[in-house]
Amino acid sequence: MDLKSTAGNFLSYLSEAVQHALNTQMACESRVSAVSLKRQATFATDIAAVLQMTSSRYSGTLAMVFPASSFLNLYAAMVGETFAEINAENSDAAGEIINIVYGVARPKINKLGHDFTPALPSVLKGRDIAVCPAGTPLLYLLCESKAGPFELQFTLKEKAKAAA
Amino acid sequence: MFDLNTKILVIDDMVTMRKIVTKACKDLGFTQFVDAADGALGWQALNDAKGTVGLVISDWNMPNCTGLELLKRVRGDKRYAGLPFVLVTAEAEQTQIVDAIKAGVSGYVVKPFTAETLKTMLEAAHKKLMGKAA
Repeated sequence: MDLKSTAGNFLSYLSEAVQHALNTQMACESRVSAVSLKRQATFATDIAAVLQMTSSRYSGTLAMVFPASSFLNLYAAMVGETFAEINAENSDAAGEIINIVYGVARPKINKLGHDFTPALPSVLKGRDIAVCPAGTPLLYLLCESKAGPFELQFTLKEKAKAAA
Repeated sequence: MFDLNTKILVIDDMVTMRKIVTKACKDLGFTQFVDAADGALGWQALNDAKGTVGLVISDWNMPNCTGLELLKRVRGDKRYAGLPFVLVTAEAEQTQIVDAIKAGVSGYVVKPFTAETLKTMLEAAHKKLMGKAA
């Protein structure tokens, strides 16, 4: 399966995974409202979770970025505790959310013949942080939810073939 | 169902997931908890509890010592051979589930999950435990 088809399948499964994860774990309805090569989101990023996607053929980055309001609303829905700001006590929830989303999508993409491995997420805090590497085509999936907007950022590339 | 005074060891490297699991168990009526941030610390907490832990709920994918590695360690120690051990995983791949069953898991929950899903799984794990005891 070529890069374009693989990326397309991945995006489809990730969109489903976001809906399923938020609906089940947070009782929060959500949907992907736009997919584009240019950022459509108008919110400023306050926290992001990122993980590296790796298979024997592909590598890429998946990130979920949130403004503080959306993140804190999702946290309250997930854990039942409310916070006025992002702090050390609540920030790892961003990692848990992306962990769940990738965990739902990964087996589905692997059923198509891939071998993407599990990944441990990292969490980054800060205003308008850049999380995906430059130089690789980056896709933005703008998501709307009852908790507020957030965004997925996705890159995927074919690994360089080993020299013969 | 388990006695609601059963002490539960909750293991996850994510504070948030430890809170989610603990909250779900509290919603089911459980009152006693200890927690740990990875499999190695979970093993230590289990030993420190000196036989008072009656149920382990552990994440699978953790640094240092994974949930599956901890499960194998627990099942390899005759003190804990019958201890109910539930894995919480973000992975629903068949090979992983088979690995967990082979290692002696009492049940597993795939994230995302609701408190109701956890309850159903705990009931099944308890039934399995009672079946072994009979």
